[in-house]
Amino acid sequence: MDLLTRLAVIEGAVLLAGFFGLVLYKIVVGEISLAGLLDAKLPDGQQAFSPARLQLLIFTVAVAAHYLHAAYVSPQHDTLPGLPQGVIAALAGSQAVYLGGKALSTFLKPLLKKSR
Amino acid sequence: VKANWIPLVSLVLALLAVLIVFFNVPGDPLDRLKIVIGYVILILIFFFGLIVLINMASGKIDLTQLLAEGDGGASLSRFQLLIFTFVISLSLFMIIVAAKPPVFPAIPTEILTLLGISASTYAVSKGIQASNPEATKKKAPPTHTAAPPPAGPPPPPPPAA
Repeated sequence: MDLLTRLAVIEGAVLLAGFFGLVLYKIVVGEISLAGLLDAKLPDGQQAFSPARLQLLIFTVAVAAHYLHAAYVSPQHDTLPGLPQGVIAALAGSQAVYLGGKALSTFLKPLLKKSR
Repeated sequence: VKANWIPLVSLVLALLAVLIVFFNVPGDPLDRLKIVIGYVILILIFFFGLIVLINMASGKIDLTQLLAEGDGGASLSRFQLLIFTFVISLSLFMIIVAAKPPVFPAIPTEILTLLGISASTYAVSKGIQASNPEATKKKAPPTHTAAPPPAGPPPPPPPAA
């Protein structure tokens, strides 16, 4: 059973590293494009930098890094580490700002432009 | 390149697993059966994963649109879902490997909430896009059509014989 467990761990490591490595490699060489990640489309069709997207990206990376560190140093091995409720609330707020900005630029701005 | 060697390697590994169990594992037949099934599942999942990886690397499984939005730019909600999926699966793997013996850990509700928020954002974002397709439509490339000939005087009638 020991050999089976060791093989399962090696297999999991190889497959995870393979999938993550391949996706990261394709992002780095540009095969998976990140162009326009922080841009929002204006009602007139132009692309413009969006602060709502930037704050969501910062929150996402910060929460991901915090969680990875918590999992690495976690003394408990029978459960995944949890996240503080405050972090979840902050992330939900960040998502709401992003979606609000998107809805604003998609629905309200064209209406205001028409009414002028 | 056709991956014809994969079934052959799988067969050899399966036979190897049976030999290991037959010669090395003590105990009753039910224990041996459990271990053989364990090896079979391990080999099967590894080669399924390997085939997917090979096809992704060779471009047969196209990943170029993995993060793309309807208008061609990258989607932040897709990117976020990708990051969270990576981080949580990596954390799960680290926790499983750290436990002696390895056990599957409990998943706290906060993590499910986090993934739920992320996936809901993606869904709502798609809904906003779909409700106003004009705002997110790709710019069509200019079409080159042949211009109609300018209207001029009618051609002269053929001379009478």
